[in-house]
This record gives sequence, structure tokens and C-alpha cells, in this order.
Amino acid sequence: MQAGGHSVTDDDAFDFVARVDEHKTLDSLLTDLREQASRFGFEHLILTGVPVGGQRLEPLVALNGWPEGWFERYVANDYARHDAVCVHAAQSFRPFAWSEVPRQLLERPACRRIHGEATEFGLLSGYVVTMSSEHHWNTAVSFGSPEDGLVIDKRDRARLSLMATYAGAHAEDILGFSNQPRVLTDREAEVLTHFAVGRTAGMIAELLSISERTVVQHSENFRRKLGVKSTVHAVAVAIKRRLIMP
Amino acid sequence: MIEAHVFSYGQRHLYADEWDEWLRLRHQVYIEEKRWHEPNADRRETDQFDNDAATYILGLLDGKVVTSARLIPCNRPTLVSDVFPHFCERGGVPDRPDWIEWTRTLTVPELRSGGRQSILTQLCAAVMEYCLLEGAAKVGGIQELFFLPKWKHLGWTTTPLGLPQEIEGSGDCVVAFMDVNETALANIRSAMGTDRSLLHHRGERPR
Repeated sequence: MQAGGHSVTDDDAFDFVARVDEHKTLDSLLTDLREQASRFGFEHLILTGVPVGGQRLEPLVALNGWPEGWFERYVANDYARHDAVCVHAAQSFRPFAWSEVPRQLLERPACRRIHGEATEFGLLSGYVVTMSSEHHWNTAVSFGSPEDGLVIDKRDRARLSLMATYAGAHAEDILGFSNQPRVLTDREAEVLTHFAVGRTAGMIAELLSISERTVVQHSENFRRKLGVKSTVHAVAVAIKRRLIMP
Repeated sequence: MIEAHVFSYGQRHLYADEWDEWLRLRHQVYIEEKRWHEPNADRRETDQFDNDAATYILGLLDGKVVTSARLIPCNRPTLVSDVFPHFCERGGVPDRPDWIEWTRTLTVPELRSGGRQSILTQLCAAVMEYCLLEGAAKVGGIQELFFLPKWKHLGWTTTPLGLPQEIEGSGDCVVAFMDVNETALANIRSAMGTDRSLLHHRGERPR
């Protein structure tokens, strides 16, 4: 039993993992995950691709269980840019409590304002689980609680992290990302990776034993596919979307 | 596409150059990058699980080692059974010969791109192909929780054998095993856009 009177067992976590694939819709997955999270004291959650490089949050969201009104306000004001929890989620390979986000991020005035507003919506403390994504920079589940300073112990953290990871992977599956055709061909990705580490078209042509004209053709193709005008922009977009990892 | 060369520990003489190249890569990745152990004077990494129980897959591209896997049946001593048994609180420590422990997968830094046709995906396809040929039921081992969703993205199912726990220097890890079946192989091949075998042998196919 936790301080707040919550109680979760290992069975709850492993049962969730075992049944998660049965959810055919995002709504039923959200309902299930929410019910589990509430037993830890977390009433709200969002499962989303983590926005980076000025991406907007809204199109990245898979499960929205945030308080009524908060999501709309967060998106309308583009809080993702300044919310330290969101910024840290892009950088962390490990789950973390909101209170564990580095101080220098948390104490920026814009962030303090956002967190102040969040308390009005019943979001006082929380826990984030990040995971690799096929489609986004990475994916995160952020759980929020109306309890100030809710602490969950190591074992509960492990249970919640495991459930969140399986939920995140399955949400992408429901969204059908796995079946989407790939964006770049291997060769386009290869050429773009060489550009990303500072090589010129001439150097790339020599390295790959192809003509410079072919390199230029590949560049035109990946710029068109990514909807950008310059190779620099293509590099930025491709890194963000994890199409290349130079 | 890589050539995934399969050989047993006893056959490593057939791959003398590649074997040595790989041990040096292991030293670079596991000791110099990840700092799992103190550096070795000869700058090669081996451990107690490099023995007669092990089968290796080395992914070669233009003759160079670019990726790898070490596979050990779970009725023999494994990293999970000997070092991380406490990660198997739920499922018990695997001990069946048709469960295969998968360790020592690295990719050379210049080919660590993500994506579904990556060198890593090709290696995963080779591992699944090998496991099917061996009649294995499961393949897996200790891994980072953060990257667990990648199996799902490849169309594989995984079962955790315990809760995640922190390993100093490696973040939160979990012991999980993937189902070995034709569907898993078909799914990863369709993700890669190929249906041909990646496995190669020099000499006898290892048993």
C-alpha cells in the first residue's frame, strides 16, 4: 500500500502486458491504461510523439487523457516548446518524475508559468516514460496526478514503466505506422547521411562510385519527398523523423 | 544487404580475420564506449560466454564485419542465468534448449542509422531465420526497456520475464524473449522489402 492509499501488484502490470494487443482502438487502449494509472494515483495521461525542433504537439498525440480544457490551451499556446517536462522527454532514455527534470529547465519563467497553470487543471505531479519510436523522435507517456508531490516507489515505477512501454508500442501499431511505406530509399538515406556529416556532392559521388549528377538526382528526390527546399532542411527533418542517424 | 555468416565457437578458425576484427569492435563498443569493463591490454573483448555453447552470426558487408550476434541455448550458462537471474522474477530463469539467449549485438558506428532497412534490422532478420532453422521457440535476453518497442515495429511479439530494473551505465533494462515463428520472419522480411535468406556458411552448417 502506498502513502496515498494506492495499490498495484505485479499481476496488474503483467496482465496488462498480456492483454494489450487485444485493444483494437486507441480509445479502448486509453481507457485501460487510464484505469491502471489511476491505481497509482495518476488520473491523467497523454501518450504522444515528443515534439522536437519546433514540431507542433497536436498531430503527434496518440492517446489524449489530459484534463478537459488543458490540452486545448497547451496546444493553442504551443506550450510544448517551453514545458520542461516535454523538453526533457526528448532527451531522456529513462523514465523520470516531473520533479526530477533538471532545475535549469524547470525554473525558466515560461515553464514556471505553464506549470502554475497546470495546477489549476489538477496536474500537480507526474511521471514520464520515454521509448523509441519508429515514426517520431521518440514517444512518451506522461502521467499526471492532482496530488502534490505524489511519490511512487521503485517497484511501482517499474510496473508503470513496463505498462507504458507496451502501451506506447501498441498505440503505434494501431495507428498503422508499421504498415506505412518507407519514406526514403536506402540510397537516398545514404546520400543524405553523407551530407549530414558535411560531405559535398563531389565527395559523396566518389565515395559511392556514382556520378555527381546521380547524387544531385538523389538530393532532389529526398528534398521533394520531405517537402523541403534545401539539403540543410532535409537533414534537419530526416534526423527529427529518425530517417537517418548521422 | 549483409551476408550473415553463421558459425560455432569451434568453427571460429574458419573466420580468423573476421573474428579478430569483431573482438576489436567489441572492445571499442562495450569497453571504450559503454565502459562495461576495464580496458584489456590487447584491446579485444571476450567473456566467459564465448565458449563451446555459443553460435555466432557476423554480418559482413564488402568483407568487413558491420554487425553481430551471439546465440546460446538457455540450457547452458547464459548472461541471464549467471548474471541477471533476478530479472526473471515473473517468468523464471529460462533453462530450455529451445530458448536462445541473444547477446553481443553491435553495429559499427557509421552504419547505425535507424529505419526498417537498417543493418540492425537485417541482423535481426538473420537471427530469426537462424532460430527457425534450429527449431527454437523463443529468442531474447537482457535489453534496454527504451528500445523494447522496436520488436513490435518489426512485427515480433515479446514477453517480459520480470519487471525492468536499472543497470548502472545501461539505464533501465528488462529480460524479454521474442516468439520464434514463420510470422515473425515474414513480418521482418516484409519490413525490409526482401524475402531472401541472409544466412551464409563456410564449411559445415554449425549444429
